[in-house]
Amino acid sequence: MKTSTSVTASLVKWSDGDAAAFDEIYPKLEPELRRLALSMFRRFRPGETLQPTALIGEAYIKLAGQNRVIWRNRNHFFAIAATSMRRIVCNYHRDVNAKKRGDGAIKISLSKLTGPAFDRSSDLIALDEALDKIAEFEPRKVAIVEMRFFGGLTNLEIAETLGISESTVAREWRMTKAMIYRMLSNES
Amino acid sequence: MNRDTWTDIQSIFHDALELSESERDAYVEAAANGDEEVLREVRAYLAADRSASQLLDEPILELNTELFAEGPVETLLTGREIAGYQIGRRLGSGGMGDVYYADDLSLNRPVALKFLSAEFHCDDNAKAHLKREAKSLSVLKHPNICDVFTYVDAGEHQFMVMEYVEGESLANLIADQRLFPVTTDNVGLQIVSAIAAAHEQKIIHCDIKPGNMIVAKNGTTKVLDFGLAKVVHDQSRPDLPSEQITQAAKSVQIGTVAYMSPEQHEGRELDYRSDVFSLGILLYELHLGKNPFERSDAQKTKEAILDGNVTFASQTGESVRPALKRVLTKCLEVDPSRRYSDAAKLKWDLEHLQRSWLAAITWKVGAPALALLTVFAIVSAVFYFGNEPERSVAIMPFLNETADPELDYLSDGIAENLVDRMQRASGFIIVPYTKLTGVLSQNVNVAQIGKSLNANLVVTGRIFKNDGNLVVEAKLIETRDGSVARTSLIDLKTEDIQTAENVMLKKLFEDLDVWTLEPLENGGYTPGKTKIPEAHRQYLIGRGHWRKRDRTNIDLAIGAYQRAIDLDPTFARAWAGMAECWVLMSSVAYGSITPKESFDRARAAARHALEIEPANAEARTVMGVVLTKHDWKWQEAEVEYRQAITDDPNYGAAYYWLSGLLGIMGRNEESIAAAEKAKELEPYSPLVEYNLARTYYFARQYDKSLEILNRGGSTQVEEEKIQYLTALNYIQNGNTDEAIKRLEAISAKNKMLAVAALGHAQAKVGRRREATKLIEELKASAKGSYVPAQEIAIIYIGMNETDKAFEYLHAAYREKYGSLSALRVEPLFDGVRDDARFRYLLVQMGLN
Repeated sequence: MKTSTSVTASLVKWSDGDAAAFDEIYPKLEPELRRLALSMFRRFRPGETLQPTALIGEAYIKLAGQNRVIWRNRNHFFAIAATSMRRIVCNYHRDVNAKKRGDGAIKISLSKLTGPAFDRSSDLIALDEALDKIAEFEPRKVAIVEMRFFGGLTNLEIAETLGISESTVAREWRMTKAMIYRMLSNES
Repeated sequence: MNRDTWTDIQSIFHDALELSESERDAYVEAAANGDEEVLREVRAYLAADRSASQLLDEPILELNTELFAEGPVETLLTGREIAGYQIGRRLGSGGMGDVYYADDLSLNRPVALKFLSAEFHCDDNAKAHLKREAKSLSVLKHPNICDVFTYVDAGEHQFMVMEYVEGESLANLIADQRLFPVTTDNVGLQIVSAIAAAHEQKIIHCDIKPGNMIVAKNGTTKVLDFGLAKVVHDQSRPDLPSEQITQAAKSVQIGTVAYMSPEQHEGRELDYRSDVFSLGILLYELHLGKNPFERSDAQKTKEAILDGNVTFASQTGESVRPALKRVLTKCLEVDPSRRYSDAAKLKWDLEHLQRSWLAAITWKVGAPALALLTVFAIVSAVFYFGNEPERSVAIMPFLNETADPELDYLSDGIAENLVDRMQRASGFIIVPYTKLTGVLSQNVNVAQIGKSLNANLVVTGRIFKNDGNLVVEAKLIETRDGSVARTSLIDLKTEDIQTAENVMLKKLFEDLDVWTLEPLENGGYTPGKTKIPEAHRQYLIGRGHWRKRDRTNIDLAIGAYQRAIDLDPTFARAWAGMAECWVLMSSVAYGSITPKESFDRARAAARHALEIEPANAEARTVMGVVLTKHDWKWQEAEVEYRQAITDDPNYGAAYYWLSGLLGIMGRNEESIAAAEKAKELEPYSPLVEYNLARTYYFARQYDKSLEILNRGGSTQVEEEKIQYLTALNYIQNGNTDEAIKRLEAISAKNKMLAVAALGHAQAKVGRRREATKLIEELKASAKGSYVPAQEIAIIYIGMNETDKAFEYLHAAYREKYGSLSALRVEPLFDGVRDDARFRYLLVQMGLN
């Protein structure tokens, strides 16, 4: 895939830790990212899990036309990968659901819990919007959700990435889940 | 809420979580210290915490393995194995069903499975409906209707097993404007033909729309999803209720608003004319790129359909040619009685229209199509306005002028690939490549050859080296006057040889203005072929050697086929090639292994091929040869040959062998007819020519046989055999001395081929001592390698040593020697034909 120099520059800034750079180029990269994510998903057998780091790493290499990615550090890469993953997954479903509406809409399970009590919250888009609201006053909590839920990191990895203690991560995680639950269930 | 309050809420929440459930509320009330907001919020968060314990706990990627799949994730069957089918990705979802790609594990083929959607799983009516759909579709065999193989009830799941069509939805092709004008007509006609076939079976589709049509890469269009179809009430069986849409189907919207007929919108009784209306919309959309009735919402769309006003113009003002407009208008009449009564009538008009489509070119012409159209206009003018029946192209084998025999395989490889691809491109009638078998050996001018095959154009080419680079040159020649219409030169680096074909085809297609839907890199799934380029190359090498057909080359061919099979064990055609080699190996001309080994190996290889590709005419023919030459099961052999002819009516070799079999059975006239048919199919093949001569020889028409042998410009490859058969004819028509002269010449090069006939002829003219010497030599060499007893018997027959002759004939019978099957007709046996032992042998062999 050919990418313009400005895109490449943004990609480099992104790998340097500039999250805004990713937002800038995301619209241009989206089709390729989706295609890539799709093809990576198909490569996996049921039971195997796609690693967001692998997806983002591969996407970066492809998009920037480079042979390898130099990330500022490993932890930083985890955070970036998780954010990107959230963007890819949520935007994809927003689009697909906008086209299909109603019955055809995809419902993504947010939990092993299912059942009528949880119907309202089984909506990825609602989660995305809730996270946006939370980010306005608690950006770190959002980062934790992104890394755990979208990035599949453990509390220990998250703690290392954010430079906080593991118990803080656990506490924040629990608080955030309660916040999200309230936003998704009755107080929309 | 201010920051402090928020901080308080969080810290009280966390502290409370450290306590047991029973202690929490008292603590929270105390800690809130009278702040109602804090108290309310913390309580709410604690309640949420209890409910949210599993929320987001599993990463999304683990929860949803098919995150990017379109549709309800929880119902995906991808990855499961059900009743012998390995389920792959979901291909789509219709009103009631989900369609998945799957591998049929027992037959090792791709299929599409249609399951009921999750919401219908417990609906018995829906199940019955699916089963009925499978049943009615299974009688509906048409090249443009997706084939239904079977219906499977696997307890938890019921599904219909269908042909998997690799291709794209017509809806996408229209939306992306990826259809060319030429294809537009073609695709439209294919769809109308399919629906006409359905109507003939009294089936109304009821849901005709571009989304239900799939266009394969070669342009073949298939109609899918008869899920809403209904069967017309059968007047002759008033006892049966008409098979109306079931309860299940009623709960989903019937049809798709923008493609529904007025009567469908109004819920009236439907007949074929409803389909005609929907076909009209589809054809309109094909030609003008949009649905004529589609409006901003369903209600307005419905009103537009009921109103029936159609404007024949696209957004950019393009229109359709007047004749087509008349056809479409007739389809889109609001009053059904003014429409075509069924799709067959529409089909008739469309076909008529296409025959005269050059008359008024007023449709859209995109840039890439323009070039194509120009060529089309030129060449089609002949077709449409001239008297010539069809425009046809013959593709000649390419000449290898590189002095590198390693590259020989490219001569046929390139040409055959071109034939294959061009057959799939629109607008060409391609002369079957088999018609050109052996053409290189004929010193004829290509335009003449083309003419003799009724081709208007000939593609001819050569491969040569220039400064170490491989160059391919292709020429397009008009057969009318031999003029070169186009020349195309492609430079290939020698090391690029593997990609050479693709590069070259691409360039050739550009230069020859051939257009194909199929991307060159991706052949798609073709039974019998391989996707592994090196396996394909080895196969071509094998075939190159096989065509030369002598001892050395057969060995080389077996080696190449074996490498191809090692690379791709599912490569049916390589197995078939292998079988074709082994079946020759016990013949004195090619090999010296025992008949049993040769035929056993041939049969095994042919079986392999047929398991993978049941319609493989080559392998089928080998089975026939084994049955003829080894098993002596004449009737069964005939069945195999005739099946091979059904599988591939252009396969000359099947007729070739069939003529041999019929000759053996003494059915001379039929035998000659089959040999002549083989000659018609492969007019330039020396082998087929030789076979024709042999057939006349067995029919004891020696002069006719000699006439054929003399007229065919003899070629190096078949020279020996031609001389041999000529000699046999001379023995019979009294020219024995000339026969001996020729047999001696052959003997110098291929002793085993000539020895029996030579000894026989020598004995006949009284040179018994020489004949005896040959027998001694044969007996001596029999100690080292296999010597067919029949050969010795033939010499004894010449010497009138009848008892000895029968001793060896019986040995030949026990050996099941292949050529002994000619016992009934071979003139060399005439000396003992009246002997009772001979008649008994014939009885034993089932040849009486």
